[in-house]
Amino acid sequence: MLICAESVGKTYKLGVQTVTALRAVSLNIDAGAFIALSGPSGSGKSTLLNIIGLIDTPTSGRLLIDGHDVTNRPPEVLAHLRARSIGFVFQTFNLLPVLTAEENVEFPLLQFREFSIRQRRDRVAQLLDLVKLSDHARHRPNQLSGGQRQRVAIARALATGPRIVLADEPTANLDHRTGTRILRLMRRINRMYGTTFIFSTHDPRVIEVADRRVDIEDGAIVRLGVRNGKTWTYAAERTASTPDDLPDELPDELN
Amino acid sequence: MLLSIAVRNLARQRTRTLLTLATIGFGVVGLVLVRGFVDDVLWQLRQATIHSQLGHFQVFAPGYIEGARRDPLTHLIAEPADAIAKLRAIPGVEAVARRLSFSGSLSNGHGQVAVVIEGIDPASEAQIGTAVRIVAGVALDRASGASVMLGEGVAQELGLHPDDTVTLLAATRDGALNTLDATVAGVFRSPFKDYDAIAVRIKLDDAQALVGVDSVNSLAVLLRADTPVARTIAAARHVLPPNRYDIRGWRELADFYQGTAALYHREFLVLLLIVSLMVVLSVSNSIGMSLHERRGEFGTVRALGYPPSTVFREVIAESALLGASAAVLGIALGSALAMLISAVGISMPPPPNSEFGYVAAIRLSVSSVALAALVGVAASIVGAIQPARRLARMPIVEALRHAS
Ligand SMILES: Nc1ncnc2c1ncn2[C@@H]1O[C@H](COP(=O)(O)OP(=O)(O)O)[C@@H](O)[C@H]1O
Ligand SMILES: [Mg+2]
Repeated sequence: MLICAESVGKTYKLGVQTVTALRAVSLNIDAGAFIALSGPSGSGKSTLLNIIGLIDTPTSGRLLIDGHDVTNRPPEVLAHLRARSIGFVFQTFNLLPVLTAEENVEFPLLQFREFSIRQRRDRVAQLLDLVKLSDHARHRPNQLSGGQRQRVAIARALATGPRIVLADEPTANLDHRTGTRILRLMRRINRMYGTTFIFSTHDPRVIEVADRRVDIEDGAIVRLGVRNGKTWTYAAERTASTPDDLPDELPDELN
Repeated sequence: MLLSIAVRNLARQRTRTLLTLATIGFGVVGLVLVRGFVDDVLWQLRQATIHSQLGHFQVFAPGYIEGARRDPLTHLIAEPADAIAKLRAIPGVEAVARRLSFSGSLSNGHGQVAVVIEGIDPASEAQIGTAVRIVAGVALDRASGASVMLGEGVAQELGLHPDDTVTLLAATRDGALNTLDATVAGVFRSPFKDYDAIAVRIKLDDAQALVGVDSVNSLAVLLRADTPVARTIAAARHVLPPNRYDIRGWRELADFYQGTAALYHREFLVLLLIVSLMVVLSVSNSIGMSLHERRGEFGTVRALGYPPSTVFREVIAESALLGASAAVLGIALGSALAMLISAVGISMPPPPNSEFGYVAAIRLSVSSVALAALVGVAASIVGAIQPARRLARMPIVEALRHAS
């Protein structure tokens, strides 16, 4: 089990009010999965992704990555875990504006002494080739289209070779066609390298690219689905069971 | 690459960076100029002090400094000729002037004033006293017979002019009163008015005869330009053992200089604090705004795995870079201005206790320039600490909410 959320809850205190963003969510995710987190705006998708991505902490429950409890680790330890194991793709792309495309991709690698300049260059070139942006390597983010920026962001997310890539609404700032392409690119990378992808979306059309779906409403998982050809097979309604309990049919290769 | 990111981020918010740069830079310029001005004023005061009365250091008999006021004639220098020979042998010593000074009075038939009578070697004294001007008459060594040089204030007090006859009255070592009839050779003006108001100078032989001693109570030593003073004093102490001779540097003997230097240094310190505070506030404000706008980026940077400590260091480095650039610019501009101002000169009114106005300049020194630069860089770093800490502690999720 790569990721295991055990009754993860998150509440915010706003003055005297308490806002519940997540209520005791339990979820197991295997390595190599390509999962859509779906649900309306405000349902808790971002909160769950942030907790899994170790950039936010749950107020109750536990999170295990590779069997290790990472719930109450100090910031420096979490930072190290993120650097090694988790890549992020953001709704707003979040490229560093002063860096070129290739520098943005290289940026996460600078944390590690073990990479020589040569190794970094090779890796960056390889990743830019993967996202088909080799000829835009020297462009600044503001010289790239939204889709191109998101491809740079994907290359950046993969730079340190993480096992998990988290993408919170990666297509929300893109038109439908571009968004679908971005997801297909992620899908291909998932197939090629076995990288686990979890992305969130509230757009039903985008979910069609996923091979598993976790539907969230009001801070709770309402159902889990596995792609079955062009349709979904749902395991249960209002359950906290895991996708592993589901019939394990291989979805159609997309792209 | 991290450094180049800092540079690019500074270049990105050009206006703000330039404004902060200008603030720090002007602070540095101000420090260079003010410190240079203070250094020059004190340097001129030092020169005036050394070249009017004190020389670079003086030799006394032990106990003289403490007891001089009560009885200057009981603490006389042992074997002055031998001491002079030893002093002259020290490298860098240009002149040694013997002095015998004691209190007495001066009268001209119409009136009488209390004076300090100084017996001097006119030739050696002239070498030391380049800041002393003769405003009427001639120097002692160009007058024959018993003659006296009057401080300007003394001459005014009694309305005396060259060639007038006066009588000096003093107590001998044994307590008897003795007189000396002398002709006024000339009137002198030193940079120090209060000295000119009480001092009269006669030839050493006349002074010794007047008070009945055959020695002197001080030897004033002048060094050649650029001779290290402290080291030469140490050498003098070596050849003139402390049990027989008491050697004091000019600074120790110059109360007025010490007081003035302390005052100027205090004022400079206040300016230093003001400039530091100004830079700290300015940097804190501008870095704070810049970070506020960029917190989304820092949220991304942290999500990518960089720990809070790196974020903190990045911000500090960026600010230090800004401070260093401003310091370099400030020093360049400050030095250029200093040279320009020095070339023109600052016309100064006579300081209190002096008759001379003078032209001040800006003295540049490695230490003053380094201090100004240090203040620029250090204050930039200090100013960045609080904003950097706030940023490093900001929850990632909150920072990311401001990413676009
Ligand atoms: N910092 C916060 N303070 C208060 N409430 C928050 C905060 N962040 C999220 N929430 C609330 O938590 C719930 C889930 O938010 P979120 O995870 O962003 O949903 P989604 O990503 O599905 O749109 C929402 O009701 C939201 O208003
Ligand atoms: Mg969201």
